[in-house]
Amino acid sequence: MRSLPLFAQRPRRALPVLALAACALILAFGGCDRIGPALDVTGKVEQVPPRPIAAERLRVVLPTTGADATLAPVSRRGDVTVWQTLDGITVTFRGGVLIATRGLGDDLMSSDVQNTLAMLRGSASSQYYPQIRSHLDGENQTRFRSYQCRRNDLSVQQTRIGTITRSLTRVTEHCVSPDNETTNTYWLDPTGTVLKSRQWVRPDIGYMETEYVRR
Amino acid sequence: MGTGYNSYGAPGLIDMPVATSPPDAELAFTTSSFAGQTRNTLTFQMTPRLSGSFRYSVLDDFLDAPGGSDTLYDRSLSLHYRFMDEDVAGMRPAIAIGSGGFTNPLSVLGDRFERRPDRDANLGGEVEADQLFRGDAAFFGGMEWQVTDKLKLIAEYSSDDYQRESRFAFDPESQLNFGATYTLRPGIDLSLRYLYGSEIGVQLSAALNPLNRPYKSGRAPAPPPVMPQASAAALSWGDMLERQGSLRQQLSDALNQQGIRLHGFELNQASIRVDIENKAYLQQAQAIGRTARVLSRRMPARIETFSIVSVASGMPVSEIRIRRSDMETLEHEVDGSWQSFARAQIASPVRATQPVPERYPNFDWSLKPYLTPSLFDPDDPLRADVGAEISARYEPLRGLEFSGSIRKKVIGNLDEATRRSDSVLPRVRSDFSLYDKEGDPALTDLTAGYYFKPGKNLYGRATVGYLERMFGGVSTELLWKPNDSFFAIGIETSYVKQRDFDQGFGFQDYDVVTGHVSAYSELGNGFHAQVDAGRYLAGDWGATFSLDREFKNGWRVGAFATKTDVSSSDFGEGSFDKGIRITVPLSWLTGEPNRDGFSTTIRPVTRDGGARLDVDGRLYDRVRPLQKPALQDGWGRFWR
Repeated sequence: MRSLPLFAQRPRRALPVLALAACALILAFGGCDRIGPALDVTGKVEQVPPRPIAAERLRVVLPTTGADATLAPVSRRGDVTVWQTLDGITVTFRGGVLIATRGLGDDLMSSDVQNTLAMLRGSASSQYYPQIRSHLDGENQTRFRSYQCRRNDLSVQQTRIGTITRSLTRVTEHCVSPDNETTNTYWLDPTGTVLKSRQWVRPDIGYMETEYVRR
Repeated sequence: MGTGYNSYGAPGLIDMPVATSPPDAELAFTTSSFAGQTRNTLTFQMTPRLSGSFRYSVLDDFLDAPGGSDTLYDRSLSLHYRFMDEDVAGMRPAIAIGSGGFTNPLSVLGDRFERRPDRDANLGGEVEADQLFRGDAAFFGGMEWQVTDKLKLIAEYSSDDYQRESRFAFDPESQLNFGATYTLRPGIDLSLRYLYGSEIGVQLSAALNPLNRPYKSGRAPAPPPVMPQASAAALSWGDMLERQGSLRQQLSDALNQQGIRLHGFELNQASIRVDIENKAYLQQAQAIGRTARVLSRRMPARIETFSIVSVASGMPVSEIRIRRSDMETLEHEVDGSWQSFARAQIASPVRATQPVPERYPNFDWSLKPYLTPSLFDPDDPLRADVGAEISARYEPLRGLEFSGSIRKKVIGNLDEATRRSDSVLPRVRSDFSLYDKEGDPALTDLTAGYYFKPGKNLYGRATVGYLERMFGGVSTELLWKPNDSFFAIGIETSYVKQRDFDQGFGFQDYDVVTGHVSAYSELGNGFHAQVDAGRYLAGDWGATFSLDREFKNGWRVGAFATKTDVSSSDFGEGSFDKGIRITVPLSWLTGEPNRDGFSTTIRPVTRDGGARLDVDGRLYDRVRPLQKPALQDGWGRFWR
């Protein structure tokens, strides 16, 4: 199986056999699978299969739900990349920082992460900076939430990415909102590209772990 | 500490009210029983301060009950208004005012204000203003102790001496009540009480809040990402004239995957107009957002402007013009939702496009289960039928719809109703139990409807056939509703004949010309008012007033009342027609995109006065969701 490295870890929750079979089939061609709990009782919108625009993949793990999927890039504009699962969920990153989810339940609709990106580039050493995120409330109204964030820690570590161990810069970012405190962790290569991360999504999902898979 | 519900289902302690309110929009169903009294109450927090309750009580061993039975059934409405809040320091108390009942059919219950003037056992239904603020003032009070997250203990001193009831049901030995409330699940409370020194009571209350949607942004698959115009340019678009057909077909297929049907397609030099029908989303804004995304992926690079027209029943209702470049620049913007709304131009289209060839003729059908409950018959207060309904719809050309439905009962006991109408009016509604009994299977409707747009802000409908289960005939309607207006006016005229009880093809002798002038208004904060004035099915003249609170997620909770020139005594029990109605959208429950919902209307009693024709396809409900105010309310979903 050529695509085995993409599935170094098995999904922790048993998936239906059919879904697994479909997964394996698509994996062979595209390498992208599912992370959403499919219900689809009354659904009228199809899960359109991803049309990858490049060969690289992003492995996404949601430790709290046990989801483990490999996503394909379906759109890239400037520093924004949209990655899609097989079951029609997308996660969007700007310069490796999560800015949106779609189809993941209480979706992150949008984010302003300019200050985080500046921090990752090395500026604003220990200053607090704002980060804005938006969600939809129960009446479809956009609700913005503001976080105050600062860089917490910076170190160089030997880090395993897939099967290769590399020397990466590990940066942690501590963010505080009126409701919660979160810590995001980014592993950057010498060019400043985020190869690996652990980023806060929302309370019921917790953190999302990502790992860049070059092919 | 949260505000609980008392034995009347109103905000309160055990038997007494409190001056605080549950959270805005909370909808609670409470059933409570003690001393042979069972009260079932639906309470809705209509505004942060005002709540309304509809209560159905069954009093056993009530020897004064009319009709020789010793069981009394009572339906009542009550209101609770908190006009003063506790101040921060706790020095000034919260104060609320409550009414014990605009009651129906008999008013003998729950007097919070003692020793009022004697009340007549009357037809009910009327506000008995002389009962308000009468009688001696009385003190009542209580204490609540939240022991744990789930357990609350309550003690209260009641001012109600149950003067009317005590002769029959129980003797209050003490005015002290004690209770314990346990929260089984969030929103679901079970309470045990010891009341008036002699009685054990039990109560279950279940509350939910339409504002708290379980799946906030929903579980629809992600929309396709916007494709940059530059990438689209890379695709080769050779001979466009020749390829236009296949381009349209590709677009139609891509939209279909998103639950959107292409109705019209007009490719110009630098712009495209697509007419779409939204088959999936409760919020039209979401259908428009997805259409624009699909267009960005499919249209040749020279196309700069997307003109997306929302179509209902073949009528072009609203046109949204979006610049292609805005789709690209705003897709990942933090405030992209508002920015894209602000930049979109929304108007009422005058012109219709030629429908795409694959749109008409169109046939579809569905098979669904149905449930028809019948409430409050004293012989059996809860009856229901469950069965299967098969519906079909054929659209041979734009605006023309043939549709019909047949119902076949599978199980149920509606046919067991033995109470027959005693109405002195033409029996336009009160024979419902005969329709229930004989209509199996029933042709519930079979109509031909034609929808058209005679002017920029005008919409028209003509429907002929078996319009509803009890009437058939011809119905025509004209609606004036400008795109950005919060006000609309409509006129409807119908000539109908009463159908046979078996709901086949036959008619009875009774016929009537009925019609209304309707004024619709959005009052703000989600409140919608409607006044329909005209002639009703029994030939009576009058008006219906409706007030609904509509949530931006599709929930509706409302009430209506109709007063006509039929006197209270001719109308019979209830004095005039009234009821409450609730709509729960399926998408709220499942999180999946779906336009359907459960709707129910609860009438305390069904009589013949103030009865309106129940024709399908009224224009306001078809047009309004596609227009600017509704688009703005739902625009948060544009990028979802």
